[in-house]
This record gives sequence, structure tokens and C-alpha cells, in this order.
Amino acid sequence: MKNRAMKIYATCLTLLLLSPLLPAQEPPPRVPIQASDDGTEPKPEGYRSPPLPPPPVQQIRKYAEDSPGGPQQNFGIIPIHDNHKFFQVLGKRLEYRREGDDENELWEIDAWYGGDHNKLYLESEGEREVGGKTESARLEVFWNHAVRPYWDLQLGMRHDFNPGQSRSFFAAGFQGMTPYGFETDLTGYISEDGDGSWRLEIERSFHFTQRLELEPRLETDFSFSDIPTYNIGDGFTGIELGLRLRYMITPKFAPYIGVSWERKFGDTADLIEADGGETEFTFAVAGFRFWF
Amino acid sequence: MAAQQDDLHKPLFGTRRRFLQTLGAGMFSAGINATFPLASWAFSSPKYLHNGIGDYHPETYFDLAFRYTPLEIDGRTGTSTAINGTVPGPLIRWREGDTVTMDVTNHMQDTNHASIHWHGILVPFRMDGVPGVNFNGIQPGETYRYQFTLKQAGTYWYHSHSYLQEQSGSYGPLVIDPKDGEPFHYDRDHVVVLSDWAFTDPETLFRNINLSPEYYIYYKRTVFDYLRDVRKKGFAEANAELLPFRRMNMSPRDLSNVTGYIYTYLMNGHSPDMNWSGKFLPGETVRLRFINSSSMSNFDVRIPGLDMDVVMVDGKAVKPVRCHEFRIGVAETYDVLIRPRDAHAYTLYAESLDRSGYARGTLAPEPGMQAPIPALRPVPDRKLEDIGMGMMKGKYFGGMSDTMKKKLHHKRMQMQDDAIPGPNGPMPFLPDKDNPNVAMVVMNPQNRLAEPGVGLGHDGWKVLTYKDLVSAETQPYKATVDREMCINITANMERFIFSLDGKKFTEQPGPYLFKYNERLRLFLVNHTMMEHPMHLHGMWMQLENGARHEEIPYKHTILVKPGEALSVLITPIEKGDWAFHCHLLYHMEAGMFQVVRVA
Repeated sequence: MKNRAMKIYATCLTLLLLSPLLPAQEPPPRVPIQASDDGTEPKPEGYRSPPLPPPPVQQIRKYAEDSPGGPQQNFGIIPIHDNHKFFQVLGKRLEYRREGDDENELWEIDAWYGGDHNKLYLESEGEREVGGKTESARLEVFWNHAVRPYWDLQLGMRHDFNPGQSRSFFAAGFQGMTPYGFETDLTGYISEDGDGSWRLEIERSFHFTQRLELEPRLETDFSFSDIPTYNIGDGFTGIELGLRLRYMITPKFAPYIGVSWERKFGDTADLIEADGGETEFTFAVAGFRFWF
Repeated sequence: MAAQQDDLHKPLFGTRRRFLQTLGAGMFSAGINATFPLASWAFSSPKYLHNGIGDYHPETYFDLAFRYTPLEIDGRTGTSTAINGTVPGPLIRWREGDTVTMDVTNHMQDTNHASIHWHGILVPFRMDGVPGVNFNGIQPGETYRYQFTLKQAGTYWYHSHSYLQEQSGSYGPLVIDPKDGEPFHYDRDHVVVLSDWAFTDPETLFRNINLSPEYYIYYKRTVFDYLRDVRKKGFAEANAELLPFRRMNMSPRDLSNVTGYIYTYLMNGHSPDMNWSGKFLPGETVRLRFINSSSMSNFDVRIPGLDMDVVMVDGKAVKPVRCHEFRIGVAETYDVLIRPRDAHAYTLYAESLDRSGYARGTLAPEPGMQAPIPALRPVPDRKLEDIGMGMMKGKYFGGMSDTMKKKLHHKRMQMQDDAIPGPNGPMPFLPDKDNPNVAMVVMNPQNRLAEPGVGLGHDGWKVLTYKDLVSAETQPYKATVDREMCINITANMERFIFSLDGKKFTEQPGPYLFKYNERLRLFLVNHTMMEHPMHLHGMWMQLENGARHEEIPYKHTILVKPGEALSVLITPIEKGDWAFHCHLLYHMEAGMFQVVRVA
């Protein structure tokens, strides 16, 4: 019962989050838009009805397409470098986390190479005990393709390097910015065993001064199946809420402090508890963000 | 020639310049440039006031050379791609009607090419100097000979059109004396070249703003700005104005991409502290030739305490307009006359549009005099109305549905604005479905020629607008319009993609077609959040600003405001390929560039 409710909730949440991508689903705006009226609303006095557009045959020829020599290759030189390829290594979170005596380190580093519309995009994330062994690590490799002004489609693979539990996944999702500036990364996975899941990450930063910013962060995972081997239950598996206060020393280096609260849900929590693990953490975190 | 020097005040430096001249330009190539960090037309020091360019005479031959040259500003040394060893380069002075020759050599061995474009000069198409459009550039070690006959007079400038060389100092002023005498009287003549200098390597700068468009922005809106607005305007009003911007993922402070944080703004190659100083004598009429040679900075220019009579814009005479401040877009030129009566110093003050810094100089009768420097005004916030998105005010959810967009696309924009000329107005623009190149489409662009622009017009003094410009030149072109064309200025700043009609240069299907000697009405509609100085090579754009057809002003560069629709009349008088682009250097390099083919 609980799971069903969870699933419905998850679907609703997904739809809600995807709604900026689905303009056809949007309700019509309540305020009439001046320039897009359909000609029926009352006109102001002295309104000058616009003449009809010329029929298509009379439309002017705008481009000299069939002229000899393309526009981009005169004299064998391209005058403009608008397809310049760049690379970036972006360390989103490199942090030390502590709850009581429990200490660990976390990294989340992206790297990409490419142009405006297509990129090779790598995402890497993992956790390890301080000075100890790596608890979990994942690497994702995507082809990023710009599909909307603020959205990239991501298609690729993910591999988990968890000790003794390595798995590979097909991965597909969207990365971009919702209206109101929420940096969002939604990715769906199908594992090599055919299990489906998705992960959502949302961040938004608020500037207090030109250099001091506060960044709330939400991360949540959802699984479509029970996978007891990996302590994963059907439904929402967990949520992580973070709040980080960052000081930008340079745009490329910004240390931060913050808190991160994590909680496992439902069957996942039961499975972990049965194993003797904890299901709720509140970490104090300190780290830095960088790029080059 | 009306610019007459007072013989008693013959400049010390002028004679030194002549001395150099007799030694020949070869002196420069011998490396002497290191001892002269500034060209003599620009040089001033606390003990030496520049006398003006009255004793510079038109010449018909210039030898110009690109070299990497150290440039020292405020104690820091950078590397410039200087022309003849100075930033700005030498003053080029020609006479209308002359046939002039310039030999330009590229001594920068690691460059792909160098080039000089004569900005605003009507030349045959192979002489226009855009690599990849007009010729193949000047390869290292090579010399290219430019030769053409001058059909115009006025104040212009020249600059490199090769990659980012313009940012690293490859520009200089260009003055053409009319053959029939100046249309107005003046006693003294100063060139004022405004520019922006960064010690950062321009390619690094380009990468930084590509990867992080707000990299150099230190006037971002903060939570406290929001709270201040709430207190001042009330909760509802503050949200109604700000949130639609946030919904579009825009900022009301998208004013520029590169700011005074990284730039030192220069006046004739002098930083504000170096304080370029020019001479005047009380009672004289002084002509100031303002040239904006910046890569990315539009300036607001004023001289506290003096009225300015704008007499020439982009090299073409206009009926004098008295104002106290004018906005000079990148690549524009404005000639103003001032008549200082008192023997005290005046500050030439050019504040960058985003208020992140200023260029400054002084006009004084005696060396060592200074006037107070005005404070920078607060950073302005754009209003929804300013960007043609007034109907978005108070709209927090939803958007224009596809059906509505289509409906709009299938009929002409309902231009109820009589100020926009032509029977139809510009065609409404709808990019290809969800084109990632276009972050915003302005649904009701307006005529904004009478608006001074963002951050101006609230100070209680007269600010020049494009509407004020009335040409004082003859109109050689016919009034009947043969064709109309519309070009949309589009961008997605988040991805740092700048485009025309939603297409970057390399995505365009072909060059725009202009017909030889036709009369073309070209609409420009700005669908972005920023001012774009649009420059057309090889022909004049005559701005339809409401003046009679005989009196519409000539422009080579037009600063198009956000949410603005304007129209220009063009008569292409020279066949060939010409560049049409935004003169903000990094916007151009990011794709806001097109070739116009006159056939």
C-alpha cells in the first residue's frame, strides 16, 4: 500500500519536474499576452489594422545560397571561431563530512569536452572513509546534446565501482536549468540485471554578497524494483538535503561549510536496518568547489 | 581647415614627432617603440598637455606593422599586439579624394594572420580587411598593400579583424579632412580614443566567459537587493518585476559580459590614474573626436560643467544637438564641440554602461590642473518593459503555448507603433522549434530611438538619443524602398551562443543577399537582454529615426537596445562580400556575425 502511494507520488513528482520540458502540458496563461492576441479582443481607439503579409511568392530572397562559394569558407579561412571546443573540469563538491565519530570524504567531479551543442560529459561521484577504503564510487559517461535553450539530453553509461558490488547501467536523462534557476540533473538507469531506477539532483544558489552564496541542494533516488543484494527496496530509497554556505575567493575556487541530512526510506531502510546499518545521518561538511 | 594651432604654443612633442618623421618610420622597426609607450598624438604627462592634432597633416602613405609589444599601465606590464609599437596605434590622417596606400606587415610569427579593417570607410571589397571574407589575412612575415580612393571625410578608426587582436591593442584613430573645408568652425582638435585593456590573455578571457558567463560580473543582484526592493516597492510589486526575469533564467543586471573588474578603461591609452590631459584656451571652440575602440565596453560620456554640441556621428555631419551626456556604443564615433569659457580644468568622464568603471581624462589650460572625478552611478536594473517583455510583468507561471506562438508567427506583428516605418513592420520571429541558440524571443519589440537607454535619463540633464540626430549631409540615395528584410538579433548567454536569426555564423545557410544599388529597408530586432552595436561593412546604414528622408542620419554602427525594433535604409554601392556583425568582440567570435553578399 505504502509503496503504491509512493509510486504515485514519484510519478507525480517526475511529471512536475519534467513539466518545463513539456510546454504542451502547460495551462494557458491567465493574463492575455499583448502581441499574441487572436484578433478578437477590443482594440484601442485609432487602431490601425496591420496590412496582410505578402503572399509567399512575393517574399524576398534573404540568402544568396546558390551563389558560388559558401559564406564560411571565403579564401579558405573561417573568419569567426563560433565552434570553438572547450574543456572543463568542474569539482562541484569535494568535502569532508563528519557526524560524531563518523568521518568520511566525498567527491563529485564533472569533466567535459566539446562545443556548444554536443559534449562528451563525465560525471564521477564517490565516498570513502578518511584514510580508509572507498565505500562507493560511480562514473558516468554521457553524450550531452543541447535540446532546449537550458537543457541538455544525456545518453550514456554508468558504472559503479562499489567493492564487491560492481554494476553497469544504461543511463539517460536531462541536465539543465528549470525556470527560476534550479540547476537540475535527472537521470534514469537500467542496470545490467534489468532493474530500473532514477536519481534527481537539484541545486539553487542565492547570493548574499557578490562572493558569499548559499546553496540548498536536494538529491533523491528511486528504484522500480527490490534488489536485496544491494540493500535496495522498491520505491524511494533515500533523500539527501544539503545546505552549503560558499565563499567565492575566485570564480574558480570557492570553499564552503554546511550541513547535509540523509535518510533512507521504506524497504531500503528496512533492509539496511536488518543488516545493522544506520538509515539517518546528519553530517557537518566542509569542502570546496573548483573548476579549471 | 579650421583647426588652427596657436603658434605661440607649438608643442614640444610635435617637433620631436617631426624629428622622428625625418628619420623615417624605420626607426620604429628598429625597436625604438619600447622607449615611446604612447603614440605622439596620444601622449600627455603631468607636465605636458597635449595640444591637439592640429599640426598633423594628411598623408597618402602609411607603413604599419604588427608586433608583440610590452605595454605598461599603472605599473603592470602586459603584452599587446600593437600597431607600430603603441596602443592605440598611430593617428592616420587622410584627405578626402586622395588615393591612399598602406603597407601592413605582420611580424607576429605565431599568429594565423593579422589584418586591418578601416572601420566605416567605403572601400572596394578586397580592401575591407576581414580575413575569410575579403582576403586571406596577412600571414606572419607578409605585407599586404591596401590602396583605395577616399570618398568621405570625418572621424573613424581602424582595427584588426583577426580573432581577438582588437582586445590586445590593435586599433587606432583615423581622421579624414574634407576637401571643401569643415562644415563648422573650431579652434582646436583633440582625438579621444576610449578603449578597454585587460592584462588577462584574451583567449583565457574568452574561455572564462564561455564557461561561466558571470565570471567577471561583480554586480550580481543579491538577496539584500531583493529585500530593499520589497521595502521600497512592496512585496507584490518587487516580485512582479523580478520573478518573471528569474522565470526566464535572466537577470535584470545582464548589462555586459566583461566588466571593470578585469578591464582598465583607457582614454588615449591612459588609465584613469595616468589622466590623459589635453589643452584648451578659454574662449576657444574645441572639437573632441570621441572614438569607442573598446572590445566589449559601451560608455556614457560627459564633461561636468560643459554643454556638448554633437556635430558629427560616425563620421557624418549632423545638425548640432546640444546635450550633456551621450552613450557611445562600441565602434561608434561622436564629434562634439565644446566652448569652455573659464580657465579651469574639466574632466572628460566616460563611465562604462554597467557602472563597473570609467575612463577619464582632463582638459585644462595649464599643466597639472585637475577637476573632480564624478562618482560612479549605481548599477541600473533593467525593467521588463525595457526589454520588450512588459506583458510578462506579474506572470510567474506558464508561458506562451506553442499554438499561440504559431498563431503569432502566421501573421504580422501587430505594430501599432507609428514610429516604426514601413507598411508592415518587421516579421515576427519564431526560432526553429526549441532552438538552444535562442533563450528569449521578444513578442512586442518597440521603437526605442527616443529612449536614452538603461541607466540614463534620470539625472536631470539632457542625454542624446538617436531620435535627436538629423543629418546635415546631402542624401544621394533615392527614397523609394525596393525591398524589406528583417534580421533578428538572438542569443543564449547561458551557453554563450550569440546568433543572428537563431543561427551562429557557421550554421547560416548562406550569406544575406543585398542587391547592387537597390534601396533596402533592413529591420533589426533585438531579442536579447543586452545592447548590441551592429556594424555593417562597406555601405552606410541610414537610420530611420523619424527625420525626413533627406535628413536621416548615416551610421556605420548602431547600438540596438534590448527589445528594440528599428529600421535602416541601405543602398549597397559596392559589389562583393561584406561582414555584418555585433561589434562586441566576444559576441562576434561566439557567432553573431554574417556575410552580406552584394550582387
